[in-house]
Amino acid sequence: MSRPHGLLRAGYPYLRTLGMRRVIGYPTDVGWTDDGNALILMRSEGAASVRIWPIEDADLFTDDLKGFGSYGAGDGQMVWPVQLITDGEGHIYISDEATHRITRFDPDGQFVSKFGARGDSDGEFDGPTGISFDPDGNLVVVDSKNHRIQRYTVDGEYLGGFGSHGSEPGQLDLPWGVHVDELGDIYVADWGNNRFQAFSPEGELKIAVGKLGDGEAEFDRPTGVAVDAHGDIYVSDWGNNRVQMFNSEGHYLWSFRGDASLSRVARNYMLTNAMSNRLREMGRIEQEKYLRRPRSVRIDSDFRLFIPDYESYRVQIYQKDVVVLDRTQFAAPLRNPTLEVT
Amino acid sequence: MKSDRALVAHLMRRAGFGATPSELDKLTMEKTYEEIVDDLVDPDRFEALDTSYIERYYGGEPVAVHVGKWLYRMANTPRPLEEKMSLFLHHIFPVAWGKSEHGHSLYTQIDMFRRVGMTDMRAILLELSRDPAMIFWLDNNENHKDEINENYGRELLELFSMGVGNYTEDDIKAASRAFTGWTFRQPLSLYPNGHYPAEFEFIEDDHDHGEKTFLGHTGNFDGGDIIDIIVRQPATARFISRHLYNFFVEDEVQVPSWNTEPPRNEDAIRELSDVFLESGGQMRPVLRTLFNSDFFKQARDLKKVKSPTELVVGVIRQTGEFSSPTPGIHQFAITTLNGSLVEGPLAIMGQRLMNPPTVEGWHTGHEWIDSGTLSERIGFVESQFEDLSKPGVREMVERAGSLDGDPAQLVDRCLDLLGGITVSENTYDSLVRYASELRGMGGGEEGAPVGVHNLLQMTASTVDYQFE
Amino acid sequence: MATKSADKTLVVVQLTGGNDFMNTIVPYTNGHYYDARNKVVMKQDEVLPISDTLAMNPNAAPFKRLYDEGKMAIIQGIGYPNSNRSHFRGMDIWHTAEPDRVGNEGWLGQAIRELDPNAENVLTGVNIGMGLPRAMAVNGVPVTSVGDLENYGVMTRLEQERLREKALEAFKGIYGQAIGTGPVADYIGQTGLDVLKGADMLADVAERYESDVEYADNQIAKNMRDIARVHFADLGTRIFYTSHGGYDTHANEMPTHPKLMNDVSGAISDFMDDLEEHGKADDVAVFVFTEFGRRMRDNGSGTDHGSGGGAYIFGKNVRGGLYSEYPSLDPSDWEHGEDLQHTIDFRGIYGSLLEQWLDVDAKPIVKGEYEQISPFAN
Repeated sequence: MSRPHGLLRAGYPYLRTLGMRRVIGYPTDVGWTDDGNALILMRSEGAASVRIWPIEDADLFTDDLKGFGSYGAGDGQMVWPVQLITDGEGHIYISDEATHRITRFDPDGQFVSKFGARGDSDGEFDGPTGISFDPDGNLVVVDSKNHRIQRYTVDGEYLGGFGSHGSEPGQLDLPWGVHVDELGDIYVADWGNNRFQAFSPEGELKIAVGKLGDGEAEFDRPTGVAVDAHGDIYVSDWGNNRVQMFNSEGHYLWSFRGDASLSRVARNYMLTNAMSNRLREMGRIEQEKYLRRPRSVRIDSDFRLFIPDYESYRVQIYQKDVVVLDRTQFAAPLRNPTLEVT
Repeated sequence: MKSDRALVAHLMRRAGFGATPSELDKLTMEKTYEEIVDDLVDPDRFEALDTSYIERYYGGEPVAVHVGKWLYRMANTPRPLEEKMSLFLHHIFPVAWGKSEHGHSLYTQIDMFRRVGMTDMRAILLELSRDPAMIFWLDNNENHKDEINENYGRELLELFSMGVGNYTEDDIKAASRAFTGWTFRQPLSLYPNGHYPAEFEFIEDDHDHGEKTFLGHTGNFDGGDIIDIIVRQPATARFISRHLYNFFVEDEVQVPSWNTEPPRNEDAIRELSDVFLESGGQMRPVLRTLFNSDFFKQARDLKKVKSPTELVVGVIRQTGEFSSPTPGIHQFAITTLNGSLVEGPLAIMGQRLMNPPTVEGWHTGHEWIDSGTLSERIGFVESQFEDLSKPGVREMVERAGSLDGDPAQLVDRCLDLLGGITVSENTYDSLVRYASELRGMGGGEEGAPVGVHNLLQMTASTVDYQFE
Repeated sequence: MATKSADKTLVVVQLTGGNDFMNTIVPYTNGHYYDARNKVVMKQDEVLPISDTLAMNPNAAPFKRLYDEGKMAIIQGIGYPNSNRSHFRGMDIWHTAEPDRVGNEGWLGQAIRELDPNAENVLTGVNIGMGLPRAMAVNGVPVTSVGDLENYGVMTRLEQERLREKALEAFKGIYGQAIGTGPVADYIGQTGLDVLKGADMLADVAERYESDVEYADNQIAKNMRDIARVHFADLGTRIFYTSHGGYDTHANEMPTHPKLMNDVSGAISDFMDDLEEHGKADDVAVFVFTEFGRRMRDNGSGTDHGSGGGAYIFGKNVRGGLYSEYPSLDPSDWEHGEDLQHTIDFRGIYGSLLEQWLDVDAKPIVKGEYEQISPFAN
């Protein structure tokens, strides 16, 4: 599991779109199961649950939409869920920034356990948002309104944490999503400071990238962050309606703005809607493909990039296409730019 | 103390959504009345609420979510008059979600009110005429050069600027022709991806470029020219002044009677109209004059009935439950139960925000009250003030002191805590009697223990509390 | 009391969300129906036929019984021009009887004003449910909305009896004393006392009620039972209103619609039995409506908003049977290429109820004259 020396970046084609309004609520995060399903975490005011949807997409709008969880503060319910992750055994963990807890479900969506209580002491939360497993199988939790990162065992035993409120390098302001890579480094979407930061497992700042804006490596409220096995970093840039991609050094590569096509279920659904089809024809249909307010970004072990397209009731998927390069195929870093023909 | 507490409390209720006791402490300590007015009419002195912070927590498409976000803004804005003006404009330019169910465009319309509400009447009417929600609501999207639809042209003159009796049917036709081609671009359908924004669009080919005569002026007018003429009319100055007076000072008769019924306070309307005309329709000078006037200060004693929005926002400011984003604010608007829409307290009290009943808007004043709406007002404050887990309720109960103290002083403190309100002598005596009765009841044998919160509930259930 | 208990009473039941008319009164021999509906469809061998062409939804067996007894009038194809498929606009139109402009006054509120012109009885119109339906709202017309019959009134959240007693006393004092201190305070004071009066009148209604009819345990059944309880207390109510939600079946219609049918048909037939048991069946009619019907084609799981639906009138004095015409199912007749065309204007049905049952002039309420039907026996 070592990182490649270099990459030939062939492309990052759009793969497909999952879902549509009515079968998927506002998707705020996405995970997946071993058997080919996406677990789409849906949240809007007064509604919250998880939709189970085949990554291959479903043909028809059927009667038995699969999912689990419901809106509420009871066990197995959620009010303001933020992120969803799964462990090696298919257990599902969901953070909830309203009830200040992390809930664990079994692979069938049955409630298993929960932990968390409101407060600002060690082991307490004020609005837990991002969650990720570290290489040891512990949970790293973003404690957003306390502006810090904490680490817990899956049973909720507090293991330590770091972070303080502010805009200096290494400080945090209402952080949101988190990803821990296979080396244990912790990447955080530093929402209020319009940047992402990476920390060592001990909490030392490694890189900080971004400032307010809509240019390259600029952000308007970054929400989620993901890192793939090549070390590439993806950050969902909420206010700019895009996902930005960086290499492991924090060098900006490109942006995903959305290329959605109709999902299979949407295609079939629209066949029964004459008026809607006419309205689409009269409208500015190009805008239909773009992302709207993405709240997360995730990448699986097959290098499929999942973007929950929050305000468009769907998930857009891209497929990374690279060739791994060795030392003979990828030159050492250059100090200076060059116009020399190579 | 630089300013009078009761007067500042009155100002903050009318120009905003009420002040808490600690806010009143600070304001009266630091600023004169006139300085507070200056702050109110110059909202740019205070940083606006961070929209992304609100959107981070409150997501969703139903109109109740949009209403919830608006309520959150009303309760937390550092610019209370800016927010109150957007409510004012929603009252006088009422567009209902019910016709289109396009909540998105309603929300952006309110945002537009927030942006232009304290500029000038020309900008306000121009933005209004370009607003997709308004265009659809009054059918200006069906106003074509070869097929005039007069709905918008008529209401612009009748309900939005001058009032009946100040123009002719020919003026309506001319105005309507001037607004031909003012439409919006068809947004994408709700399916499969949810609502998309609508954008204003001017279709040159569908605009009647011909000569028009409007209120004695002749030219090849378009909508902007019509608005220029409208804002110079004394009738407009008077009409807007009367609306402002009705909203901020004293309940007037309902708008349809304005051309037959004289204003409650002719001098006040004249004063405001003069400022409006002198300043070229600028809202800030008019508002500054209004809030600094004697008629406004004396209006403390006038029985102006609170709108449901003013009541609900005033109460949620008091309870402190939504001083930072917290789930559930949309439930004040509409919520769902067993899959069907159930109306929240605002609607049951008679004010479906973003969904007014007609183009005339809400009938205000005593017409807010009937047996159903009054029961809801009382049930609402009962439920809000009984919950001691709400931070503001807990704080009020602590600050009010024990039931064992002097009942009259206890009532005084409750009145101050509820925003520096005043009540009639009869009510005051009844409250003091009730306070002394509560003292004897203690823990009781059944139900929740008796406490000062019961006195807060009663104080907020009085006839007097229905007045701003 | 302004009204006599022997007067006719109208109960209005709103099916909120747009009931699927084609799956309620099923055109079970029509090929176009089976062509358009793939999954959200009633099987020919399961429906309850009422004629060669139409059948009742199998889950609405109590309706079938009432229909067979001649107590159910089915108004086919009821609707209004230029349906825009919006729930809220649709409901506004039904509530105000104004399809062409945005109306301000509820049709039943206007009827209540005619029935009780001096507003003497706060219970002339009673809604069972939360909030006042637009249909009953007219300024100055007192109607009462009862969310919880056992706990109607003010200060009902106070659990201790003595506290509640003292609170009501204080409330009465404050509102009573406001009268005489100015017109607005007078008005609000009087309204406060009206609330107390309504609460007093309704205070023991629930306890006084006895019946052998056992209503089911669901919301519409409870609401119909509350209507029976208030009606049997002879408080002078002429118009009752209640709603039954959940009909917006865009998805999962096949599993959810049967329960709706089962609940509403059971509640109404139990209510009819209750009236019969109490000797009050002659003077009560129940009108059931929904804002629109649903789309011809299903979407694989449910049906989307359409137009041209159905309404129903129940009562011992109702002449049961089919009224108006079933909308044409031929694709060439579909509105917008996908909806049923309505065959009778709802304002004519309102006119029939107002004039033939409540004896109220319908013209000013529905703003004109529309084709009426004759659904009543005498």
